[in-house]
Amino acid sequence: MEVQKENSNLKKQNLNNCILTGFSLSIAKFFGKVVLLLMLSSFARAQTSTLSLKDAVTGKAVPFATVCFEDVLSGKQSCEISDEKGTVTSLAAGKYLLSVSCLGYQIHTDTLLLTPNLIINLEPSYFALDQVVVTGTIKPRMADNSIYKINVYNRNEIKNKAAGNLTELVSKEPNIQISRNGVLGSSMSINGLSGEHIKILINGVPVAGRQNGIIDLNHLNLNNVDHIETIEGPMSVIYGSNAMAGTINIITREFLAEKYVASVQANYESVGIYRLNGNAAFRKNNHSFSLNLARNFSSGFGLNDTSRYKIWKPTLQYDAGFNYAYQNNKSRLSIKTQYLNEELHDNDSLRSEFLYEEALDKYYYTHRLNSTAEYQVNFNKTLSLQVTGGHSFYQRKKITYLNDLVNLVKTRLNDPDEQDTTTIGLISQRSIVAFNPVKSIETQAGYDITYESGNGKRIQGEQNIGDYALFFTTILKPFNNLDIQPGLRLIHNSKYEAPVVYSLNTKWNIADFRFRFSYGKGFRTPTLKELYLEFVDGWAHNVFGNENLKAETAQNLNFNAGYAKTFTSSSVEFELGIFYNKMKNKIDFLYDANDPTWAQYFNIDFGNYINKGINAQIQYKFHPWLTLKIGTATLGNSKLDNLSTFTYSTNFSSSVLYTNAKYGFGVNLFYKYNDDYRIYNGETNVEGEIVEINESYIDGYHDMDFIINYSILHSTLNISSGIKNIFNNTLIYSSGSGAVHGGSGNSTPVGWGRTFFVQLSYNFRKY
Amino acid sequence: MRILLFLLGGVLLASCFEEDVPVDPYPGDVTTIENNISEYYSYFDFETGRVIHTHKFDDWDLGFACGKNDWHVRVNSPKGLFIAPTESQDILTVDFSFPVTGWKFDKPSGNPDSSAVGKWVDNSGDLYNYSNTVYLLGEKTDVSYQPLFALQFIFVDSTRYQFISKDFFTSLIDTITILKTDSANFTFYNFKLKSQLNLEPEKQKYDLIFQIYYEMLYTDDGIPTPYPVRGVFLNPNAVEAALDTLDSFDEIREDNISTYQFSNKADIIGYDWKDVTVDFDAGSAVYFIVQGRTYIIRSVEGNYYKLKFLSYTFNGINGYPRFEFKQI
Repeated sequence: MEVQKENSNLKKQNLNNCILTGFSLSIAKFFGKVVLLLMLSSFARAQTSTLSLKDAVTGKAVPFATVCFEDVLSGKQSCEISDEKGTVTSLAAGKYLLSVSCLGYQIHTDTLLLTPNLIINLEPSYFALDQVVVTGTIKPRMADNSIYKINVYNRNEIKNKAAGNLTELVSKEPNIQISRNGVLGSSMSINGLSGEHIKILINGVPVAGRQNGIIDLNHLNLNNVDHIETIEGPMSVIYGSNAMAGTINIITREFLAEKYVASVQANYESVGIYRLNGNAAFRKNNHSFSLNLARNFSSGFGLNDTSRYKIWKPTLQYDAGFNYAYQNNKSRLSIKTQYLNEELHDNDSLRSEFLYEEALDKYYYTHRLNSTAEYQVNFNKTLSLQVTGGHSFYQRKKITYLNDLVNLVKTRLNDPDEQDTTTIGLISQRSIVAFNPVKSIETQAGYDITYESGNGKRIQGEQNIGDYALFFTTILKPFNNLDIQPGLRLIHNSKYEAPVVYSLNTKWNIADFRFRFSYGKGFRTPTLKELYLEFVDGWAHNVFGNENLKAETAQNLNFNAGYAKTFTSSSVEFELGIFYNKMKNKIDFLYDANDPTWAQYFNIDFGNYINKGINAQIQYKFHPWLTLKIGTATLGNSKLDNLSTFTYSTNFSSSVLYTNAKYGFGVNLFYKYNDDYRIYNGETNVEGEIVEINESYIDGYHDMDFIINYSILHSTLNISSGIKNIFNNTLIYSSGSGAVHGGSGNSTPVGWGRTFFVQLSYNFRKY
Repeated sequence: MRILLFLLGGVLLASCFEEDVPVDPYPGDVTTIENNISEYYSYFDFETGRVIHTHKFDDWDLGFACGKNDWHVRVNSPKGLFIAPTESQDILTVDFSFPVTGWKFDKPSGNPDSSAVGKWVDNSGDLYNYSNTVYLLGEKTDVSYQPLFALQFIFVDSTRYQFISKDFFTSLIDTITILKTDSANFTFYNFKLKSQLNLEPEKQKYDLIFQIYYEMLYTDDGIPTPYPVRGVFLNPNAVEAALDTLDSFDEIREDNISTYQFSNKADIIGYDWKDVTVDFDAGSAVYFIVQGRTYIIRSVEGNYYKLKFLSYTFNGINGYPRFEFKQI
């Protein structure tokens, strides 16, 4: 009966968009199929029938919708695309499990007897509440039903933003701050906590390979992504270390609905970005195979076009992935692997100290391989098991060449300090049992094993760290509209005395309101770099890790209130979020006050570092034309010299999406104001006590993208074009650094200037 | 449309890294200090246009000025050695255990009064008065200092020095005599070798020393910070220099010489003809030459030369000054 409830929810929930991806389709089909088996015992075959799809609000035909049927008894599946009049013809009449999906409408699932002229009214989707999510739970469920506040970025959002990577997808969110570095790439901070406090998962498996504590978001291409789930606040009970500020789970695509899929997408940006990617997939019975390939080239960007030196480095990426999935009534198996090869050229400018005839060019070669195997079995209505194994490999080679530009001869620099190879491997295995003995209790228990090893010059040889944990959560439903979930994680870490991590999440629905409250304890073990960094530049600069670092712990309070109301042809959604995060033993990079050539990682142990904030978002939809969204987030961070005082910044974002379904085009405008913000660096005495505080300041700036989408040839060909970075941001003013020789200028790169782009996508599907 | 996509795909696949175009070589004569100045002292002579002598920077611990009336004692701080004066005047009973502050290095100006040891003898009258101050010689380790020896300078005249050392670890007492030499500005002593070393070449045969030395730098917040820098000292024996930031290297001619105010300050050329950008994240330190600086040097032979630095890097590795010079 629990499954029936889920199915009922599926029907009730509003949908923001309903491009039915392979994944969500499979979920919807799964639920619907179980319902069907419970309800039907026979089927009848009749004559050919015609199905008409209409907009439930306007009564107009809905063309190009995906309509999937499953013969109840035989289990035979087929899918069709509705024509321009919104009809699907030549169907053998009978009893089917039916699933209809279309951009801008809720997924419609039903079990029915096809009659000669059947009309189905599709409800427009209004809210972003209906996404099927899997983060933090074994059982896929609608985002709105999740006890966590989960934001979902689906393929429609990727298309609307013409995003090529994760950076472009999330950069306009008001509570997300993107930091960019030409060599290290892009990283994000969520609610004021930066890269190393954010857990990044691919299909639930952690991604290895942090440089300077961050995973380059540009390495996370979106060509094979089904959707991305982000959760703000600690998820350490489920995902362990690093999941303090937020968790990002990238779910890759599966093609369990289509017989054949082939797609190719080409993208050009005037700054010199060329992207080409393709997908191919086929399904044989319950088995599906898919392959994706991508080539991304960026010619780099510098303020001076003629200089060899680029702020944004020329980069060539090859990305390849293979997925296999099997699904039957009770179980599901998937094996996924994704490989990235990146070559990045950090070319030196022609400089006087090289007499304008030589240059030191640094080439970075990066390999990333992320593989997961997941098996899930539903033993019965109450008991499920999920076993996940993962491997993540990361290697980055830095090779420095002395480039004789007179004779165009390139030789490897004979300086071991300028050559480096960092290798990090991560193996993880987790198993979760979900047990729902009664309707009012959902329990999850499992274990999680993670072993990470790494070596590299700057991390003092081979190092490793193991994390072994047992975790337990249970959702109690004392009332129909109230969920309470306590959680507990017991950890043994090979290097730290890890704390007991616990959490309490609640969700309360009242009419059109929903409230979420969570309290969680998070923790983060220091990175290998923070522990073992060794950077000695002769006598001049000595930067070290600290083997005595303690793990960071944090306590987080999170409150979220949402209101969603649907009217005849429009809807309003409002959300308000408040968070308070108190961190102990925050790890920071501190200079020696007496000798700023000496710097080391320390725990800030003279008080709790606090960040807190409030964010609000309102969305208005006028079906089917217009979506308006406005959001703001104010963030306060403790000042290091007085932890009880705060420095605040307020970001503002908005978007306008106009969709003309009749003519198949959309016009989108995305805007964000990134407020100025301050970062504090400390200086210590020999005991590691902070004796001096330095303030770094980064100026605020406006950012806006304008994008037009146009679909033709029955939506198989999509053309996107527009302008990104309309305000032409490149470098913005920044200041601060207390170290001798520490400053590297008074600007921070935020963009490569205004660019024009065009993107063509061709999709071929056969069901 | 598919053809268009295939064409576009072909263009995208053809996109690749930009090739370099050849550049012209530097038009002037370039002189390179071929031993890294982080590790070696290189004594350069303008007349021959070459380095006439080198030695390792850490060959010595203490240096002693060799002029007949000289009493100036140097300490090799780039080797990690610093001097701290104590309040004791009795080296036999000096207490190593008290917390020592005020570790000093020699100011690079070369002024004897600004040295770490300072004025330990008053030779203004006929009779020499010795302060008999006991100094600690310590080694900087990380951000603290480890005392190695107690030192007491007890005698100097026109031919020799005498000082007493007390080993921190063994408490052994030793009295050491250093003989002055006429041919050099300084003679040196190495505690490990327990011997006097004449490392400097003949003082009439070189003009500049490329070396590492300590300087007091200031952070952006004005915090004074002892810092090892790499730069150029003058031969204290009659070499002088001036800095011209107005005229370009090519514009400077004989007529200009009379307009310069020459200085015999040892570090008049110093280290700040270059600067550095450090990127901790990338683990790199990029040095660059401060443009528009030409040094005019009166050599030990009395000839005038103009010099401009071109680079601090040779074969891609820092620590190798490259410069162009011409006799005026």
